[in-house]
Order: sequence, then C-alpha cells, then structure tokens
Amino acid sequence: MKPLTSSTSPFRLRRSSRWANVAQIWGWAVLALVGIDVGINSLFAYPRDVKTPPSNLELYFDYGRSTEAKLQRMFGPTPETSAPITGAGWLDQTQFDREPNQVESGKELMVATYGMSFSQLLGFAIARTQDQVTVRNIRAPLAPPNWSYAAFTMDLGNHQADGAVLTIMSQNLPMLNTMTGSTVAFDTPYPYTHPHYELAGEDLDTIAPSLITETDVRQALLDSPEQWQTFRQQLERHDPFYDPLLFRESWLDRSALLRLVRRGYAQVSNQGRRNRVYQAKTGFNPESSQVKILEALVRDFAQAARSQDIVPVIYLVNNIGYQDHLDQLLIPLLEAEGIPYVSSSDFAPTDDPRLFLGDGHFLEEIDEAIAAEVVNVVRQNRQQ
Amino acid sequence: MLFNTVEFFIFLVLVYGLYRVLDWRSQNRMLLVASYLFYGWWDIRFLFLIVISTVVDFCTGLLIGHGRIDLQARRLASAYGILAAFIFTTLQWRVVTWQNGSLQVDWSTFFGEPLGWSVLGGTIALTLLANFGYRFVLKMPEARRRTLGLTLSMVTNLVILGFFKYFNFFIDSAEGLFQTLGANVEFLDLGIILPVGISFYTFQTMSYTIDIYRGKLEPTPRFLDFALFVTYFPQLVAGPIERANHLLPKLLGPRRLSFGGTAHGLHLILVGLFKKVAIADGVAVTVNQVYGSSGQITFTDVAVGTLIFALQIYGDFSGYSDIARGVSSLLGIRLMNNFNVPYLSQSPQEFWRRWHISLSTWLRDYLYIPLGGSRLSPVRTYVNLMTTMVLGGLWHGAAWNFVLWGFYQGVLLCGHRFWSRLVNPPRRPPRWRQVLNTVVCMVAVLYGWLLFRAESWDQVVGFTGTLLTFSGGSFGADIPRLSALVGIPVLLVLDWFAYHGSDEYYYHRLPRPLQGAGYALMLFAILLGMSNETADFIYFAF
Repeated sequence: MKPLTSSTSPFRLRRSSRWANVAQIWGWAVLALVGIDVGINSLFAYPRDVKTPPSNLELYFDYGRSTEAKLQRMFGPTPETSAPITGAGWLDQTQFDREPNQVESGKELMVATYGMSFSQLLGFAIARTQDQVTVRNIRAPLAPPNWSYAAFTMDLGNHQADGAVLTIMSQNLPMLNTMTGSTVAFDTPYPYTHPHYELAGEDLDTIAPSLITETDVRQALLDSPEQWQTFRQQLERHDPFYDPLLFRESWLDRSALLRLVRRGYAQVSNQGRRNRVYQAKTGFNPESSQVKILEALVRDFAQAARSQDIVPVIYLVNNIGYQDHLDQLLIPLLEAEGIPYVSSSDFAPTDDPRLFLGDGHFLEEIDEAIAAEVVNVVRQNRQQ
Repeated sequence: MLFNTVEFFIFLVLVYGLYRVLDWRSQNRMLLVASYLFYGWWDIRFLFLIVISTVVDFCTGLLIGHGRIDLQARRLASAYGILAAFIFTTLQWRVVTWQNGSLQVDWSTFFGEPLGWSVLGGTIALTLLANFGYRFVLKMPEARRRTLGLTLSMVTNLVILGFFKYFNFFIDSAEGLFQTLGANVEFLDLGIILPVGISFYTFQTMSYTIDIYRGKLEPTPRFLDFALFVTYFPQLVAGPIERANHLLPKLLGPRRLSFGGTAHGLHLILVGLFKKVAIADGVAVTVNQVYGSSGQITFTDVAVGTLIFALQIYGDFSGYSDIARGVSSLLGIRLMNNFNVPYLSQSPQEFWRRWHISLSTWLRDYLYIPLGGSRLSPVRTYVNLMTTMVLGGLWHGAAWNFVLWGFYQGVLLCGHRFWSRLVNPPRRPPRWRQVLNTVVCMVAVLYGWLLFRAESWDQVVGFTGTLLTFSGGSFGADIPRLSALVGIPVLLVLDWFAYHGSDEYYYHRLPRPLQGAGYALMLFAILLGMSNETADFIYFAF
C-alpha cells in the first residue's frame, strides 16, 4: 500500500476519498482488534480444570466474564469436582458446628465472632494470644453485615459463648442487603447466599434467599433452570447490587475485549451504587436504606445476645481510605444504646498506612491488640 | 465533570449534536450554558468566582480600551453578577437530589443559608457602589483611568486566587514558623476548598486585560461572548491557558466545521484518553506505593518510582490537553499545543519550550519580560529567571515542595544559561552529543519530579540521600498495571514519530495499516485501563 505523504494529507483529499481513507484505517484497526481478541482468548484461556489455579493474566482477562458463567465454571456435579471456593460462607449450621461450641477445658471464656476476613483474623488473633479464651470463628469472604447478623441469629442457642462479636466494615457496608456473595464481588464472585432485610416500622422483615445451601445452588445452576430463574428474579427484586449486564451469561463472554468493557462497566456502576451510601468527603449517608437497616440490625443483635446472657460486641473496622466515617456513623448509636464496641481506628488510624498490610488488612500486632481489647470488653461486661 | 467519565461522553454528544444544528450566536449561548454545567457538575457555588472574574475583566477591559462602559454593557454585567450570586450561592443546589427515579427538593433549605444571602447582599451593594463610582471614574484623566482599570482587574483576580489557593498555605506556614520559634500559635481555620482550575482561568482572564492595557488587543463589547471566553469548557479547568487574542476572535464569529478538524479532534481525544486511562492511571498505584512508603527505600525504588511518575504526570497532563484540544477541534476551534515531546529535550530551556507551553509562554510574556527579561545585566537576567520559575512553581500548588521545584527549575535554567555562555556549544552538536544532552537533561528533569511529587521535606532529604549513596536493593513496589505495560511502548513510539514529524499531523501521514494498528493498540490499552478504577486528573488541583 502506498503511504500518504505530507503532500497527500488526508485532510486535503476529495470527499469520497476521505471516507475511503477513514474506512481503510478503521478496517485495519478492527482487524487488529480481532487479532488481539483471538490472541488473548487462545493464550490466556482460563483453565478448564477447577482445581488448577489460573495465572495472573488468565485471571485478569477473565474478571469481566458474567457472574453466571463464572459460577457455572466453579460448580461441578459434586463438591469434589467443584472449585474450593464454592464451599465457603454458607449459612449452614453443620459448617458452623465444626467450630467449638463450648469453653474448652482449662479455659475460662468463649467468644464467637461473625463476619468477613477481618473478623476471621480477629478470631485467629484471639486464639493465638489469649490462652484462656475459646473462639468460635464463623466467617464468609467479604461478608456484609446482613450475612453476619443472619449467621449470628442462626447460630444462637447452638453454643455457650460468653461474648458474640459482630464485625462491621466500612468498605462493604454499602453492600448490606445484597443476597449473595456473587453480587458483592464481581471479579471473583462467592456463591454463598444470605437473607435480605427490610424495615417494617421499627422491626425487621426477613426475606430468605430461594437457594440456601451449596447443594441448592449446584442443583439450580446445573439441573434446574426454573429454580435458577426464580433466584435471579429474587435478586432482581431485592439485591441492590444485582445488574443483569454483569450477572447474566451472554455472548459478550466470548470476547476478551468485551469482557474488559464489562469489567469497566462493573467498576463504574458498582461505584455508583456505593456512592449512594458512602461519599469520601461526607461519609455514610444516614438517609440510605442500608444505614437505617444496619442500625436496626445492631439493635436486634444486642437485644438477642443479651436475651441469651451473651455479651454483644460490635467490632468496627475502619478500612484505609474510609477515614473514621464508620465510627462517626455508629458510635453515637452504640453509646446511646449501651452496646459495647471496639473500633479499629483506636489501634490503626486510617491515615497511617504503616499499620496496614498491602492487601488492606491490619498488621498482625494490630489484630492482636484488638483481640486483647475485645476479650477485655467481654470480660468487663460479663462481670457487670 | 471529568473527561474520562461516561457523564462527560454523554454531555459531549449532546453538546456536539446541538452545536451542529445551531447558528454561531446560538452556539455561543449554548456553549456558555454547557460550560457552566461542566464546571458546576463539580461544585456549583464556585461558578460565582468565575462570574466575578468575568464581570470585572469585561468592565475593566472596556474601561482600559475604550475609556468608558456603555449603559447597556453596565446593566448587563450588573444583572449578570447579581443573578449569578443568587443562582450559584444563595440557592442551595445540594438539597436537590435524584432519588427513586424522581427529583427531590428540600424546600426548607433550598432558598438559602445566611452565608448565601450575605453573598447576594454584598454583590448587590458592590454593584451599586461600582455603578455609583463609575461617574467619578469617567472624570479621571485617561492614563489614570487605564491604570485604575488594570489595577482593579489584577487585584480582583489575584485576591480571589490568593485567598482560595494560598490562604491555607500561608496560615500553615506562619503557624509552622511560630512553632519553630517556640510559640504555639493557632490561626483561623476557614476550611477553604480549592476551586478546580482556578489558576488556569485566572491567568487566562488576566491576560485579556493586560493585553488591552498594552494596546495589543481591542476589548470586546459583547458580554456573553466574553463570558464564554472565560469559561470555555474544553480548557477551563486544566488548560491550555489560552490568550485572548488567540481564542476570543474565534468566539466572535462563525466557525467552520471541517472534515480534517473533526478527524484530528477525534484522533486527539483517543490519544488523550490513551495517555490518561492507560498510562497515567496505570502507573499511579506504583508511584503511590513508592512515595507513600514509610519503610526501607532503595535506589531502585526512588529511581524507577520517579521515572514512572514522570510518565504519569506527562500522561495525565498532556492527555488532558490532548482531549481538550480534540473536543475543541470538534467544535471548530483550534486550541494551542501544550506539549511537544518534552522528554526528548536537550536542555532545560528546550524543556520549557516543550512542557506546558501555554504556561511557560504566559510566564515569559507577562512576568519574565516585564521584569526585564534578558535585556538588562546578566545578574538581573538570572534574578528574573529565578523569580519567574519560583512563582511558576508556586502557581502549581500551595506547598513548599512546589516552590522548591520552581527554584530548582530556575537553577537549571540559570546554570544552563551560564554554561552556554561559558563554553559556547555548537548550534548543531554531533549525534552522540545530542543523545548525551537528552540523557543529562532527562536526569535533571527527573530529579525535579522528585521534588514535585515528594510528600514532605523529610522525604526529599531521604530520597536524595538514597540516590546519592546508591543504597542497593531491588524494586519493592508493584509493577504498573497491564494497561501501562502495553501502553508505554506505544507512547514511546508515538512520541518518537512526533519528535521527528514536521507538524502535529504526523500520525495521519503514516501508512494506513500502521495508523489502524496504532489505534487498535491504543483502544486495547484504554480498555485495559478502563477495567481498573479511574482517578482524577492531577492538574485539577492546580
């Protein structure tokens, strides 16, 4: 092809030639994009075997795949043929009962923790540093507060803990009232499900997910399109982070470049949903339904725990980048209601990045200091 | 509104669609409203500051140039200022929200708070005072009237800029000074927010009155067109800082929308998005890790982190300028080129002819030359250079590291000038010497970026010590994101072509398959970048 020279600038061509010129250039561009797309799909195809971990690039180019397609790939006909993550976070009493349910011999106190990874790390830190304490560590990856509350209420009466710790984290408070870990995290969805709560006056109405266990989800996904359809419709009605463009499997999944577009859309749309609840400048929106429901959950949690002679403790995790907005939101309520709490910002202020690991969690010694304080709070309130 | 958002894309499509069907006068009115919307999207209250600059500079421009302001212009400017005070500061737009598919207004607070009514009252009082005082101004001799007009314009603009941009800085610095002297003093904290782009539009509008005073420009009697010149949205918040004699004439007459202008505009928008989304945002995490680190830092960390920051700030700022120029080109209005492959400069002087050209030429024409430039003694020339660069540094931000960076750039320019006088280098050095000059200049510029990006004086000292002692160790931060790893080679190739091209249209003369492949790679890198979190433009803070 003869290159254009400065004397044949595209801007000086005749009208018909100009469009032909543009068409040719963009024809080449589209051809190159198709080549890139095919190349990525061949070179960085996600492993078919669910037990084989993907490389970083395979994972990266797969982030934008629809949630349904990711779930279908995760689930095999049996737990053994499914990805390990499919077993995590289910509100399943048999899973909870793998944890200690009474004070172990030689120890004097038991604490049950409910929440996400911060809660799990707190449980580990208590177990590691507090010799006299038995820990019942109930957790799910990225668990929003409604998961933690549901786990606590389900677990009530099945253990003899002296204190129950409900962990609330600023980062995923906007995700309160999602119904599954699949909508909480788009890049790497977690299939567990949990109830949605609505305020009816001052009381909470519970809407249970139509699929409750791992087996339910496996069966619906692999064998029962009607059940899956019902679940999807339920998400559409009640889950604030459900978005059909992100959730439903479609032809977009086949193209690597369109998957990138979908991931970009996910970033923007989920950020918009988070912004309705939280703004970096002003903090949490007290008028949002998430905040109002959270306040009701916290009150109910304290009341239910006290009715069983358990010390309720709220563990407030102020994530880096969220200042102490969670403290500002909840501490006035907790103090007014006399609910014991421990705030991470007393140990790791969010403006001091030295106290945080690269993945956003606290340094081990911070977790240990918080663990000591939590146990102290349970002990003190136990004595009263 | 950020250029790299869906909101801006929708906004641009609507503006462009309307622009195509309107006559040029209606185009100007529509662009004015669109520009206010563009800026008000961030914070509507600060539009009032822009209106103050607009009204004051319009009136003072006429006063300087024509010696009088006719009644109609006075009425229009007065009404405009009062209306703006009411709409932008008295009405509380933050209580208007979109909830559950409908517009919600909290009427109990919408009609204002005491501060908003005070601003409105103050505006009315000042407007009446100005109109009353006008009759006395008319009786002044022409020279005094011109001086008064210029002084009013300068004082108004610099007081607004100084208050909103530098008040906190001087208060904090004064507190620091007192604390060093052993006195624990706490001054007033007004919680001032920095209005985006204030330095850009202030300099642009100041150039208007200065040029009229110098007799280089005729004042315009058309208020709304002048208001558009001040707020023209493509370059409002981060430049290029346009001169009135370049931009204003294009706004005062019909524009021609050409195929070439549209094609080049779209090309510039794509290149700008590529630089911002793929490169600048793609390396931001790495830079933040290096400069946010409080642990052990190695030579490699500082050197690589700073090199990557050089790419980030270039991608961010030149990307913004490219998009601004591209958008304006779609509207048939050509804006000046703001960057011309700066990192291939062979001397500090050349760097400042290629980096942020609209600011460096502004400083040259309105500060360096009026100070005497190089027309006076050599010592005075060095003093002028240092003064210009230190103030240029301060223009970038209200912090001591920007002052230090300006001082450093001044030292580089003076040093280069001194050296050039001493050794009198050949006009066209051999190729190896050109490469060496480029490398030396790049290293000097990079150290300047360290000063620019540093978060504290301790960090400047610590990082400089690490560089001087070659403290060993590997690179501790994360590598940049995939979008940047794909994009950086593409950017280098683009800049190489640009450096060797005869003009900015070099890309359109490449073979078509190469152009197509370039666009495909840029789009691919943008898609990679889009799938990460977006970030604000760095220069919005200046």
